[in-house]
Amino acid sequence: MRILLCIKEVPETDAPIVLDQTSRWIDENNQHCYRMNRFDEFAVEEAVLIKEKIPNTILDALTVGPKRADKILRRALGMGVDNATHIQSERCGYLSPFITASWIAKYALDKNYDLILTGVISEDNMQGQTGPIIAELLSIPCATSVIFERISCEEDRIYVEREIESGSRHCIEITLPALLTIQSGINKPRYPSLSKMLRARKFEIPIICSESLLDVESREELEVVQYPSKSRQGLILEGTLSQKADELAGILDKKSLIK
Amino acid sequence: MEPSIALIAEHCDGALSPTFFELITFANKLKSAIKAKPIILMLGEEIAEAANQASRSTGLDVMAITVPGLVSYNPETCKAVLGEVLEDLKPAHICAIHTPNGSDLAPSLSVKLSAACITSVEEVRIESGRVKFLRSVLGGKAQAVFSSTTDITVVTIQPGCFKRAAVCAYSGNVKFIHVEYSPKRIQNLGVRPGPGCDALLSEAKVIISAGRGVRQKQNLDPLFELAGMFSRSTVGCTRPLSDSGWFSSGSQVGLSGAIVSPDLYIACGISGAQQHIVGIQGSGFVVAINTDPNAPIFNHADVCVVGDIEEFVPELIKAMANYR
Repeated sequence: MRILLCIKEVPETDAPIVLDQTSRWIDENNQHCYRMNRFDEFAVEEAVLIKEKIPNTILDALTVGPKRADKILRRALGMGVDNATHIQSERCGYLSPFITASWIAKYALDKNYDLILTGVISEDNMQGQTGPIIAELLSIPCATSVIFERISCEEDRIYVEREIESGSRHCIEITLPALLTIQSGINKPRYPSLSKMLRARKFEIPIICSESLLDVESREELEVVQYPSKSRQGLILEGTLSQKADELAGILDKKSLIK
Repeated sequence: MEPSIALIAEHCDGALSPTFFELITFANKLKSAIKAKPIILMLGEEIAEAANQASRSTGLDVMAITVPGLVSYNPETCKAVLGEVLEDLKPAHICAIHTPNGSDLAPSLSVKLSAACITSVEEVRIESGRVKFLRSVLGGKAQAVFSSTTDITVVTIQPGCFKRAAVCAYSGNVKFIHVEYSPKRIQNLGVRPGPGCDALLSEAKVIISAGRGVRQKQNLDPLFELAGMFSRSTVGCTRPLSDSGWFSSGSQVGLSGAIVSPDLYIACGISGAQQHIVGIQGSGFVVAINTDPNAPIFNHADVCVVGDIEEFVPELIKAMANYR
């Protein structure tokens, strides 16, 4: 079985971010940390679990991103992926999921993958489109928000549970080849092992120039990026932590919220 | 033909989904700008009741597509059938709610129709006749304004962002069309109910909620201690913490977990993704504690504490002891 993993590098949004109006995105020069999209870690782990169960499974990781994104491909190799390919694009700012998906679909078209996995959503664009668009461009069935999967003994079908409203599960069976977008919580992504990281560090990652793959244009434009608006006027407490604690306790008491 | 707005309505067991009226509000805003007539699309095996309800409560025309055997959402069938219908209809905007099924449909439809696709839209604005869609990016730390550069645009609406439209006094027309489609590659095996949300969460007057900022499991202890200082209180969490197994999935607050409305909500180490914010917007008073002064949760809090919960929560417990 041959599996393609589409993974993405995202800026660390747990740390403060700085926006840049020229690129209309996060300021690339501003010391942001980049790492693998968390949802993609679940996809990589799920693929590695399949490989452990089904002999002769080969896992290929693929990313679209700038030069620096090869770090996440090496992490995927460290987690147990066999091969990695880098579609390099130095385009700054927002990249339309339609463009990313078009490049990936073009790459995957003649490679006969049985299964393609992506994370359900990326933490930066937050659109959840890349996976379903790839599937549509390749004319293969797609299941989104997958929280459980089991491949049939004949390896021609896959049983899938999609997470829908309030944690309910939509159960379907899909004929392979297919694409799944993986929801968080489906597994516990492992840390890369030391021995695999040593191999990953030496692995020569083939680079494909994105523009050479396909000339494609975005169908939407990101016009402005701004800091979000407020729904409540928050009082920001000042002083030392213990002064803040005293003030907050006083506020809660005044509002009769303490029993 | 005037450019129309196609609204894809979800239904369950013969009834319209509760978010349907949010879609109508969105369509009304859009309609005022582009002078288009909205039409509601619905598909399934038995949809007469839901289709009539939709036209009666909105005054809009409904195209009810009956598909034998389509008892619940089948991605293959719905994409194929809707794709063909929309190909004929050629509406300028195709709108669905950003539910798990709506977000499954939208990107595929956009490819079939060579359309733009803009998902989880939180606000629509009209600027000099042009339609702009606002949505969160970068983990909710920024908001981006999008516009479409093609004739057809597929949009999904984030639930909880648009108020429910009032029920209309007159009724629209319902037109039934019949389509046969037997899925070849995806078979439906039914829906299994979820774990349900912890009853404590929906009944609690005070919820202390833990996010990724908790970092270590032992840091949860002070949060439980803090919860113990309030009556009718409980401890909830965000998705990453239930994913990691520290909490059961029933303890999760947000769109994919429990929608809560306590008197007091204390968000500890929660950055404030949109799906979490929507889940807590009915709260009476919101306190947020986070190390990052730009965390989006602070935009939705009444009191903001910039600090580490590991240090701050024990201080708060000490301070509160004076008031008991």
